[in-house]
Amino acid sequence: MMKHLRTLFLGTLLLGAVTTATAQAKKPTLMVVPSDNWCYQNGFILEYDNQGKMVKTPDYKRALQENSDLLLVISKINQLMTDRGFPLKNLESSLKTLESEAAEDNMSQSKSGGEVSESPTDKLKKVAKADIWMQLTWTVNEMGPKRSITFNLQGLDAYTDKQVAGASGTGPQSQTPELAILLEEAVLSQLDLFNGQLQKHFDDLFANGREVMLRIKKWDSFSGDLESEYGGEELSTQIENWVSANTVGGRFSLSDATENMMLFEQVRIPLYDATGKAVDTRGWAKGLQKHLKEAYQIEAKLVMKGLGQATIIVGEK
Amino acid sequence: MTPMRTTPTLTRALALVAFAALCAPAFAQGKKADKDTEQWRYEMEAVNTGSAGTYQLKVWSYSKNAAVATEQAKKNAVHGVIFRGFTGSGRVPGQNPLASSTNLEAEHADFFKAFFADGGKYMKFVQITNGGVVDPADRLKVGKEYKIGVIVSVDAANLRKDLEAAGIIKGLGNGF
Amino acid sequence: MSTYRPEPPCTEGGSAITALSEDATTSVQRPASNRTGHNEIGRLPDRGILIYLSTYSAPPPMSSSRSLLFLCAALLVASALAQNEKGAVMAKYRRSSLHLVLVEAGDFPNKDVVIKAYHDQPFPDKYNDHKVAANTLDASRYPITETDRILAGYKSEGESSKETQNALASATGGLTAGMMDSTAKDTRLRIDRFIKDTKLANQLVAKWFNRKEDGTMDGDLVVERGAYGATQLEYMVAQGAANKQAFKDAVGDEMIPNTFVVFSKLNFVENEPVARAILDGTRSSLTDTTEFLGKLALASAQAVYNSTKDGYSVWTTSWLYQLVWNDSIQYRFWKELWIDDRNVDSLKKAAFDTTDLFQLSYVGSEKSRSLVAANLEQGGAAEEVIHKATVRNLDATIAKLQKKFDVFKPRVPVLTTAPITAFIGMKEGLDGGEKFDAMELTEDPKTGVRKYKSVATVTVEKGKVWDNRYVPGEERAPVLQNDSIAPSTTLDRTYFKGSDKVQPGMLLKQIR
Repeated sequence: MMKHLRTLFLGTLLLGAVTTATAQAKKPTLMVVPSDNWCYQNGFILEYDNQGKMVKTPDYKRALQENSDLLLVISKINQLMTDRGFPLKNLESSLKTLESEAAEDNMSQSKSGGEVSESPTDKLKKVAKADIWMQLTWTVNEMGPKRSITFNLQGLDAYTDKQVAGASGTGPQSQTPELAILLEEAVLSQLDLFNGQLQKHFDDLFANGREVMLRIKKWDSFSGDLESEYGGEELSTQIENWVSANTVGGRFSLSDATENMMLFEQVRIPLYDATGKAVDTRGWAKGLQKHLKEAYQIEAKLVMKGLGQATIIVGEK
Repeated sequence: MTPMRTTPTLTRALALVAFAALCAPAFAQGKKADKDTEQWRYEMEAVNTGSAGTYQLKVWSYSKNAAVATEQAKKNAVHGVIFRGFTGSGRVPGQNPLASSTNLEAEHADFFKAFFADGGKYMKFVQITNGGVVDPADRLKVGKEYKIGVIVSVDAANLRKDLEAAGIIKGLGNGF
Repeated sequence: MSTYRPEPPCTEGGSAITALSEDATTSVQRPASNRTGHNEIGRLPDRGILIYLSTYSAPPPMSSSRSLLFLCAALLVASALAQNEKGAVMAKYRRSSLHLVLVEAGDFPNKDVVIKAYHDQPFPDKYNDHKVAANTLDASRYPITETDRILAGYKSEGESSKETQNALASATGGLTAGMMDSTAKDTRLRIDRFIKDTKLANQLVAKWFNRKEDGTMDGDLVVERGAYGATQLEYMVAQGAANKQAFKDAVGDEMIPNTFVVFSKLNFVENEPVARAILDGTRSSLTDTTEFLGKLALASAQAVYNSTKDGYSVWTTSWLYQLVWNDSIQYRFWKELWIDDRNVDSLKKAAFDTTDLFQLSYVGSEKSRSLVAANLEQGGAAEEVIHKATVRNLDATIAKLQKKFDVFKPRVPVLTTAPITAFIGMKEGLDGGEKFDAMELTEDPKTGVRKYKSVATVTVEKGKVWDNRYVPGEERAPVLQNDSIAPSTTLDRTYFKGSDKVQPGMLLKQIR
């Protein structure tokens, strides 16, 4: 009952926020990428050396350069998504940004020396900053003179890597010579279904907040640990209290906790703060960082991984 | 020369009766059609994946009059796309309704009453694709009534935009 | 969208009707063709326009009481079948594809003229020309022995039948071979062997898929025929689809099961010996000619003799076979035998040549006889008369097959009423005057059983036939100068005369 009331209250708040012009959540950005599976099947793979181990990864750049069907499908999805008010983040330009940043990174890396190498996809995720990756797979089935398309579109939440929307199916067989027509048909038949699920995901975001992950660690230099008492409670409890108070409906799951670390999963953070400003994972975690300092004079460092994983390391900045 | 001049009242009365008699079937038909529509008795199924933004579907309507059933198809199709969605057929997938809430029709009763009135806005979003030709296998006399399957194209993209603009349904980007 | 439904040749009333038309003692019918657009042969005496003396097709002449009984039974069966036929829910009409094979057996007068006429006959607009290489069956290459007949399960003929046959054979110097049941059955055996020998079904499939010498195939002909054979309705619906082309091969797919082969055996005979043999046969079968019915039978046989003894006749016997085609055959064909220019495979090529996957099934047979003239003049004029009679006779045979099997009967929805119009025309072989049943699909609310019920009969208006002999949505082909009918270029549909009970969306099904 309490939970219900809280949701209702929050919902009303959100509704108020929506109707005021200033209070707007950050619109999720979407980007279409060919799936790993598609890239492997079509030979667009790249091998890179990850600490002496050769690892395969999709070669998006070459796929875009060499496969005109891919470009066509992406542009068709883009056209339809723009029509729904969601222009896509362009994969090609993200790759270009990545390239120019990589050049800079190389320079800075050589200064600071050996960092853990990131996969090209991780790098792209960082650069593109798309909230939802629309992962695309299709296969052309041939039977006698006929062809059909098996099409699969998965919407992956970049914060959690969870699939939040999906649509797939095999289209009708036909002798249509142009593959483009079959692909367009596949997009047209599946995209509204995909968007229907996306809408549900967004509804869930508004109702229950965005799902993120929070990790708490401590520096070795930190005098106490997470079990040390602050304000009459263990630090871990104080942190948990803060998380509970700052999540939508107090939703989160503390999946692991020791004196040295805490792992919060399925943490539902609100889309906007009390002032109606859009909130992202970093901004939200900064609140905790600030709270630790103001309430308990604990310095902490905030490290982000991807869009949805924040790590707060207590002890120093 | 005209009977009007000789017995104006009687003639006028007769004319009125005649007019009423002439109109009666038309009224009756309109009434019947509305009655059928009010019940929203129809079924829909996918036909083809429509060209950009449209759904091509077959809508089965019922009426004691075959012509009425054919005409009601358009109204039913738009209604179905908004409130019911339709099932797939073969390898053509069905689609979900534009409305996410099942109460939408009741919540905006006035809006939809005008929307689905004869000659209402619904007409903007639907087209009979087969030029009015009904496949004989889709024209079925069941007992005393007709069940008629008409293939229509519903401009779902613009219908959605229109309903979003009117604040009836929520857009994908609403709230952001 | 479209899963194709193979359309079995739904016979009008099934095999019983077939038996009926073949076995009825005498059935006097209108000329099989009332298609005025075709050239008439000279002038035929009314009585002789076409008297189908089906006795030539053989049953032993019956005693008159038996024949009356038979007639009653036949009528009962016919009416029952007619009702049943009307009720059956029919599959979509799809253009049929025809291949023609000439069965050459023995010699007969004016054979050259008759054979030439056969080869000259124009291919009807209504069908797809599906001619393949194996187009002549030389009967002498397929001798049939008594063992073959026994193996095929043919019973020996009744004595009286043999008598008639013998009389006929001797009277015509064996020229009537092919008209008699036993020889007709022999021909069936020959045809079956010919089909096996020539791998005729494989040839038909190869033609459908443009099979080239290297064994590679494509679906272009299926698409092309589908586009041409699609209804206006299908074309219009496709315009609203994301894939505007898919309907073409979907329609084409549905045409493949309607692939037929017509085997025709022609003969040219003097009428008198045949008529006499029949008369004699009747006489010898009557036990007591003094009995009233016996007298009656004899008198009628005499009358028939008198009316048919003069002149000559072109005889045509046709056997109809259909390509067996369904989802599972198509699946195996595509899976096991298909190669195209992207994947040439010599093993699959050889497999196609030898496979028994493709078969032809026997559908039915039909006989026509056209009276040529009482007295043939010698010289060029006679040749022309024979030529025309042959073409007309072949046409009549196809018309009879069309009448017998629903699969050949065009079916379209009524487009408008007052006037009644429909998207049908010359492509479906219309040239005015044809009759159509206007039917309504009904469903029993209790049982859910669906039936077509006839509501009215309508007739194609002469001079108001749409020339639709082009692909819907494409430019109309130029009108041929030498067309027998002057097509109207302004019409965009065909007009019908008929009852005001007809409503849009009802089914028009050609009666004849």
